[in-house]
Amino acid sequence: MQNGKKLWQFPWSYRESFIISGSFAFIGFIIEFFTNHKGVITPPWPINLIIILVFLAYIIVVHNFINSPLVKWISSVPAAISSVSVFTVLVLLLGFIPQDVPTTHGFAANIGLHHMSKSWPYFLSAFYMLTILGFTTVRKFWPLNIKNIAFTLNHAGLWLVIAAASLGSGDLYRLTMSVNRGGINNEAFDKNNRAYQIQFSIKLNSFDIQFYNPNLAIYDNKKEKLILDKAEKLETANQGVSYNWHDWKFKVEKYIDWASPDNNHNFIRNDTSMGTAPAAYITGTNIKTQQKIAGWIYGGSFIFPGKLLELNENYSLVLTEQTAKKFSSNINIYHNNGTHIKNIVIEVNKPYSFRGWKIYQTGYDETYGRWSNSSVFELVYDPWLPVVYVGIIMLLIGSLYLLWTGKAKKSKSVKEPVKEQ
Amino acid sequence: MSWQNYPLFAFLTLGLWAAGLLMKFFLPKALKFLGEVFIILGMVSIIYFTIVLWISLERPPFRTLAETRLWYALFTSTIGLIIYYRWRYDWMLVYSLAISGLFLVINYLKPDTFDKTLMPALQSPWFIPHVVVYIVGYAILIASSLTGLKGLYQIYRKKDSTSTIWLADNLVYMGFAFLTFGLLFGALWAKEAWGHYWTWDPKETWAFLTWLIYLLYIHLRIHHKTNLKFSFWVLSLAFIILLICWFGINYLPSAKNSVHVYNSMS
Repeated sequence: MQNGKKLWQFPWSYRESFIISGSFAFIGFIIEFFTNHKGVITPPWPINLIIILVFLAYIIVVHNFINSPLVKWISSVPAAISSVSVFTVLVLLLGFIPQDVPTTHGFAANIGLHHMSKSWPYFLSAFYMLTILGFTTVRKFWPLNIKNIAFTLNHAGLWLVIAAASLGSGDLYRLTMSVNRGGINNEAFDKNNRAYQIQFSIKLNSFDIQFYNPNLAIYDNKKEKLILDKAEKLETANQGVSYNWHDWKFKVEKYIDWASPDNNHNFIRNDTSMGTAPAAYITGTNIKTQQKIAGWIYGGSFIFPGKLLELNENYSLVLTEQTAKKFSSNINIYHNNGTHIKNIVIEVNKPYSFRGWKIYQTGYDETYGRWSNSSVFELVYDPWLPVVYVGIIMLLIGSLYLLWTGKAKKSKSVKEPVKEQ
Repeated sequence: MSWQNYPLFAFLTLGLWAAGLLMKFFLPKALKFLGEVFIILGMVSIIYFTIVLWISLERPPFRTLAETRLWYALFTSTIGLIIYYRWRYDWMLVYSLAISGLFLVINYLKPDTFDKTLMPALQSPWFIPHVVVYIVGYAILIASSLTGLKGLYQIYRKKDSTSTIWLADNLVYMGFAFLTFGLLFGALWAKEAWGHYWTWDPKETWAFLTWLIYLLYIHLRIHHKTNLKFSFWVLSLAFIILLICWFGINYLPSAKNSVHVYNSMS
């Protein structure tokens, strides 16, 4: 397919392209190996901005003022395909090999396979791909027509997203802050447990959580675990609900949301005092043996132990652990000098933006469930986000064009190559 | 109006669609438009049910599995119809109505109308668009892979496969656009729910890989220079990656802690 052209003789084609793309990854692996697989450290502001601007300027100047077969090649289809292929192989490795595992020994760890997205081969391949993408974008920028605009939106959009996301990660902070009920805090930690003082403080006024009703499930007494048959849907515990399992027919005679046991192991109380948990009074019949059974099952909490209903020596009926439906925190935000700024409620999927930070509700003290005494927030600072979003919007519009025009059949005159067997 | 009226509207829709498709394929040319009218009436029936359900519930019907499937059915058929009007692929109409009808039938057989246990992060307006564009994207790309297999068969039988590759290309362009929407909607949603738009969650990684493979295919086909057999093979390979992303991910050791693997009860 190379028509006897010598290697490295212009115009370069797939052979040369793949050798170059592969070399970038290969050099990356070698650097990784000899730098004790530390990975790449992304530069912070303003160095990252300078790198991006110099990079852009370089692409534009070289494209406009240097006329060489090398410049022609770098925005060619073979160059693009080879760089995307090598990049894809690296992402494939990322997809198959568990990431961020604490392994520090072995060949895979030494060449950075366990932190692929921060490794030198990944970085160099992405950089090389961005170079090609950049040259391709400026080549097709002019003349302005609808097709070139769509092309630019797709290619420049992708360039912006990758460049801003990777180089911007040097300025990204993702911190976790835990605040006790009634307490106030301005200290947050990153994932390496390094402490940061934030410019503002958060006071937790109240924490509110709602749970789904628990499900009825069968417990294997000997294996000490729930039997979860994927084909069967678990039945939610609710007054009047019936639940069938093998030869057993169960009915929930009574369901209490906030119950605690009395001295006779009945669960009659229904109040929201500390440690109460869901209880259900169940009647059951085995249709084969006509065995009848009745009794309470209880979810249990950090105060009261749970209770199951034994069917026989092998199996019992239980209530599953409740899953959270919705949780939110009512917080006050203060200046560090004590001035009150804002009172807000934040919940999952509804973060709050504040002075460049986004505050997320992420968790609570799960041992105490609805009596959790603390709320956990994630604080994210990402000044490059607007740039990434501009890229994302460009890609979305460009994709709309792709969708609408499809692969235009305009080039009917272009013959497909002679088919091989 | 409530779910008790659902069978009436669901079967009305299914009946109208079936009748519409039959008319489209068997009536004389001058009357074929009647088929499309029936298909649109079928959609109107389901839209009407959704709107009235919405009003009677006094909240948007996004909360139960059945309500979600209603939206899948609605959007899949709508997008299918739009693609049909754009490209005139008869089979695309049949295909999207079949997928949409499947959701309607599942709703009839398993009317999970109680509130679903949806973890808080999933309770978001992004949920439906994110899933719908992926359903449509995957459906189109599966079609492109079938087209690829057809092409390989044609080459094997030494038949002309030029029109097959045109169809495959066009489908990949459409499917790729939907993949891009899905990936980016996912990123925008992740920013709201998990604090960052990209965290290399295994599902993200594999969705990105799927996207890259189809990106490669599109670039391979730019100059129509690549030989057809190779292109058809790439399409088949891409399909495997797509399947890993869709189902296979649940079995990968690298995906144990994915936020997209929802079998947390154990």
